[in-house]
Amino acid sequence: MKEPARIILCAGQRIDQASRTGYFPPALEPMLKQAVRDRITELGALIGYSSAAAGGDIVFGEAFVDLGGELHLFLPCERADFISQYIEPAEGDWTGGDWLGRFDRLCAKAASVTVSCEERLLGDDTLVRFNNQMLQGMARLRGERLGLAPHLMLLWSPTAPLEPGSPADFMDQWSELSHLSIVDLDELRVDAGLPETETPDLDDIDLFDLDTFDLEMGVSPRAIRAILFADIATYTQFEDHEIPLLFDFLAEVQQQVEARAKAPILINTWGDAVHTAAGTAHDLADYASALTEAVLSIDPAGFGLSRRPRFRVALHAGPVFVGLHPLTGRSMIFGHHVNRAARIEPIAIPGGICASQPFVALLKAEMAQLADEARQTGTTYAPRYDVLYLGRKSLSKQFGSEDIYFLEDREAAEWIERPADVLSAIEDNPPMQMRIEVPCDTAEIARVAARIEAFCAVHAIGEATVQAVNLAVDELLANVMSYGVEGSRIPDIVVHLALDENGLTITVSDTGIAFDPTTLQPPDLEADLEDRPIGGLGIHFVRQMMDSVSYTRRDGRNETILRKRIVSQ
Amino acid sequence: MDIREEDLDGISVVVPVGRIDINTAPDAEAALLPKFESAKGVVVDFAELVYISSAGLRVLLKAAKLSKASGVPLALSNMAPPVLEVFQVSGFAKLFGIFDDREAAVRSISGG
Repeated sequence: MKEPARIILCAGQRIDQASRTGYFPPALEPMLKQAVRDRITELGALIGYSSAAAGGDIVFGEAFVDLGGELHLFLPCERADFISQYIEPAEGDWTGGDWLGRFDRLCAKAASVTVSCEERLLGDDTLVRFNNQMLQGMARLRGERLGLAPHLMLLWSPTAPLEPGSPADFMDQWSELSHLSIVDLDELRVDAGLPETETPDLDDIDLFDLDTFDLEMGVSPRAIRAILFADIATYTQFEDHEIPLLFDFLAEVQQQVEARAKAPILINTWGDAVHTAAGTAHDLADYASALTEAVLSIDPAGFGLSRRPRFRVALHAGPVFVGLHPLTGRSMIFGHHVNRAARIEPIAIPGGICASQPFVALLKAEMAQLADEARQTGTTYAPRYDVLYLGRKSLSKQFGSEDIYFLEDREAAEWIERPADVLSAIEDNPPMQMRIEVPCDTAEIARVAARIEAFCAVHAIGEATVQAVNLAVDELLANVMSYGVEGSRIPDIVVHLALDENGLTITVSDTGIAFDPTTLQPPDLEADLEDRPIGGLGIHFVRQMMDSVSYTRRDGRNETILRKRIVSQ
Repeated sequence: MDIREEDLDGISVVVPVGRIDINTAPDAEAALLPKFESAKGVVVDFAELVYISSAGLRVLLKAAKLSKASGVPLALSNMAPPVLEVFQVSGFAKLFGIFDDREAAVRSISGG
């Protein structure tokens, strides 16, 4: 039995318009609607993420809410622009459909409608690409909070040309091939008895022609950038004579940062603050981490400073305009998302790194790509960054609010502590679930134990329970790492904890060789030491310490589920 | 990216070298799709492939479509176990003839 895919992401082919060749003719809609309904039911999906262009997106959205799903819509630009570009071209006699009415009704029924970028489209694909990244990122983040992996569903003709925002483009950005399903429009056409699309002339196939678009006069090119804003929270507390000393301190900071991290694409001042941009979220996170660590580790007294400067660092991501400043000749970025990043910085926690939802979405997608590559090439990948959700915070002026996360670097120095503000934010809403991806290395087991201890501490779970759980998890992980490896194939390992009124549920799953720990015979405790099979003693203890142990093998994964009732402190 | 090509009695064997990811997928597409106009059959040999992303899979899906439309058979060979597993778990393996080695793939296309 296939594991249900509770969270799905959907990208649909746009409905044919008069000027376009027939990849999705209106006559196909009833068949597609049925196929989509069947697929949603088969996947067991409950939470959905998609855009809402006329065509596959809306067919999906309508089916999904009709089946009782929680739908989150993401639009690449504000409503009027979106309608003129993605809804209105399909209106009227050509399709005979009321796509505008359907769009409005779908937005009303959706659990949420978010506009990824409040700028004009200007015929630019960057906003659509960014919207897709947001959709992917949000599905992943939601998945992490629930301990589930999101699934991508494409409603698609594989021969349709690649366009930004098309399902094909979505697929290219997706890492997990095993969580992908395709409803093939060409096959539906055959089943429906509709004429096939003409095999496109190879010359007509638009090969990845995404980076070129006509630049109108006065319109700067856009790109998606990871954006950093940083300033010194305590700047005004420094006396005038200390400022040169502060600058010497910062020069030393810069030396250390240069040695540790890739240089950002640009760096400019912005009032008292500094902002930088990078091409990937990971590059920028590396830079932010190097900066934070340097500031925390260099001794201010060595520079004649009486207090340590405390940096606030905010990370954001989005489409920005890129250009050269006409007066300074320096490269610069500007636009809505640069301004937004500037507004996030004042609410960042001094001494650490805070990140917005779009940044985290981008970072997660990049790390998923790295993990996928490691899986295929048989190398171990340990995700470098963890994020802790701090809550939804208000931003100044008309920038509304933003979901803010605290970023932690696993490669940061051991002595770096979480700022007190982070600890209290987590105490206020401790997550009830935790998902830990464990690189296949016995040295990681201690790290998993530390995270389990931290989780249990936050929920006031007693010491005896914590020890029992850690012993059980240690044993299961050691077994996987010893016996689950097959040649060069290294298993992916995930530990998931969930806490509810019944107690703790711990799931250890891996993609290693099929191995059922529950079939191991309990050891013959009378036998001599040499005669006992290796590992059997540990599993015996696991059974004793947990209230239940069960095992299934599905989708190429071993899953061992442990349950432990909680004795209140 | 580097893509080697060999001809075995009219069967075109395409050997992508290195990675097929979002940057190199256009090269793979440009090398592979035109084969369906002229060759008797096409084999994609994965022996030199270190990594294939979903962008690469998309190129293969397109090739599968072209194969069906043109009647020119397509087969894949020499997949590394992690890659084969992904194809199987995702269900994409059903769409392709997948063989352990190039010779078996070529035989299947010529004979069949």
